[in-house]
Amino acid sequence: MYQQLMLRVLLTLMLPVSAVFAAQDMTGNMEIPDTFANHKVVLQISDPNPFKQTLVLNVAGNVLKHYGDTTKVDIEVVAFGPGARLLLKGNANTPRIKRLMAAGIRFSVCNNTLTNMSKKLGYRPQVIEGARIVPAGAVRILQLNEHGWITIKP
Amino acid sequence: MLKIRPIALATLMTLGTTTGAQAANWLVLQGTEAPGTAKRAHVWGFIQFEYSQIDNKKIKSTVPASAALDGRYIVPNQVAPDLTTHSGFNIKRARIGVRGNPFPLDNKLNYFLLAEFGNNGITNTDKGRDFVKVTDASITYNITPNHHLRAGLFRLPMGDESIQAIFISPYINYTAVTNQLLLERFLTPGTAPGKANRVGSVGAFRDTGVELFGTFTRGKWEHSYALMYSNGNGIDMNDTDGNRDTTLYWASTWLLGGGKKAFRHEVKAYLWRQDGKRLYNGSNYNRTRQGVGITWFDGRYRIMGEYIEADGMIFNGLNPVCGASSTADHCVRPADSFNAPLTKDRANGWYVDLGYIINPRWDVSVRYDSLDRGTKTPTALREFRNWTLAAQYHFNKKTRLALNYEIRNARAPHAPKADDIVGAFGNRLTVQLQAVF
Repeated sequence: MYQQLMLRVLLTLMLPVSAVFAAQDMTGNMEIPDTFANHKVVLQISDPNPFKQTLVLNVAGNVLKHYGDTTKVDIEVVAFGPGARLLLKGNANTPRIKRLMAAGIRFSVCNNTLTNMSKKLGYRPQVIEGARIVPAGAVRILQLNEHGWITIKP
Repeated sequence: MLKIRPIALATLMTLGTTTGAQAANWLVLQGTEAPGTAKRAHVWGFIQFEYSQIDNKKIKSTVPASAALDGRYIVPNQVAPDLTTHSGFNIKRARIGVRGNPFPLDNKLNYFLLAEFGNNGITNTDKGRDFVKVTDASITYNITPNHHLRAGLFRLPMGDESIQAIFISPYINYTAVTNQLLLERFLTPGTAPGKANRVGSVGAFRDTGVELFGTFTRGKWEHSYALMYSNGNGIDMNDTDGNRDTTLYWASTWLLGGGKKAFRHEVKAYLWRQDGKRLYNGSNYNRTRQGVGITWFDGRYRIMGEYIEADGMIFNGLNPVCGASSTADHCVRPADSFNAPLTKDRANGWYVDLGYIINPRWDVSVRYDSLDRGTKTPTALREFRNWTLAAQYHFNKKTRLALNYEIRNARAPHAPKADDIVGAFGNRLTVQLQAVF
């Protein structure tokens, strides 16, 4: 019984340690954001429809506007599959994305998708400056869900 | 609250709307796709259904030379393209197209394809009526995000009235200067001296060739340029005479802020020039067109104006008098449809257009246009002076009802017989229902 208690204490102490290790994981920015926001939202874009690009940016902006700032709502946009076009360099929505980034919204793009795109293009596409590359977009969403983020797919 | 289908709205934002905005960089809107957001194939189009009625005035002879024509009807008072009756319904345009980026991951290329199914000068040729005619078929290579090379069949970089998407204009018919100097008819000598007939479709302000175009932005200034080298044969895609046209275009735009794409709030000044030759009756004749214009749109008011000059191959109008057996409801067309072109003459004209958007449902416009055709030859001189009053009601951003009333006047100041004929020009009322999808 004493051993089980010690084990629990050790595991509890290891959680922040593991978090530290997770934060130091440089293979794709998979760290869980440190936020005090009561509301945590991950917006998924995985559709090829260009209108969905506009829609996800609209939702990001509207949610942020509703709650005021990112101290009250934490928002991350995760793009994978055909939706990753949103975060490729040169996208017509870049100025708007930059404004949302400046307001504290994070944008993550799937590395697996970029790798697949590389095969089709013959070169690796560049992403918008400020966009974070995560190893796998779907996994990123799952990870955030497990830590309290709610997924919205406009 | 108006509900707008997202894709239709995206199309309208890209190409224009039915609000009569008319302030846009048409080179970019028509020749490129927004990078990173274009679909592989975006289907779009529009339909224009209209009713026209022209005051079918008769010739009133005032000189002996026109006595034989007294009481006759004239062809310019008949509804185009058939020109056999002075009133009637028509599907003026019915176009369907597809545009996009064939490989969406790569922003380097985009395409534009458009076909006409309506009844107009594009589908009506000397060989009868075509079921369908391709009006645009182009591929654009984006050298950089702001400089492009376009190849294929597409609009010539000329003045705003000719280059803008037709479905955004509140006016149903063109000004006399644009209609006669820029909307090219390709003619061949007729059976009678001084007469001609059409070959193929009207030029539709388009040509087949290559165009280098682009934009420079400096603060609130946007400068655009275009250089096009083309067949000089309108939409008939092939080259028939070995001559080529060169068209140059420059626009400087002050961005007022607000609006975007076809809604953009701006003041634009532009100039353009087109040089080429045309083969007519076995000889090549120079053909030059040039214009300077200005467009203002601030989201509520629109002002457009353009001055155009023409040198060589001046369109000399329809063979104007209906046959003697014509009735009020049926004009018997003469054997030769047109007057022979004025191969070495000149013309000039201009228009001013004022528009006001009352609210999202209603807008009104008024336009005055003037054309002097055949200015080097006194007896060939024809003067056209027209007022057009326009109103539009928008059911939604895709569908509108337009009403135009044109007060048409024409004179032949140094040719009394011709003056009696053109003096019979009647006013024209047109109602058009348009849907963009």
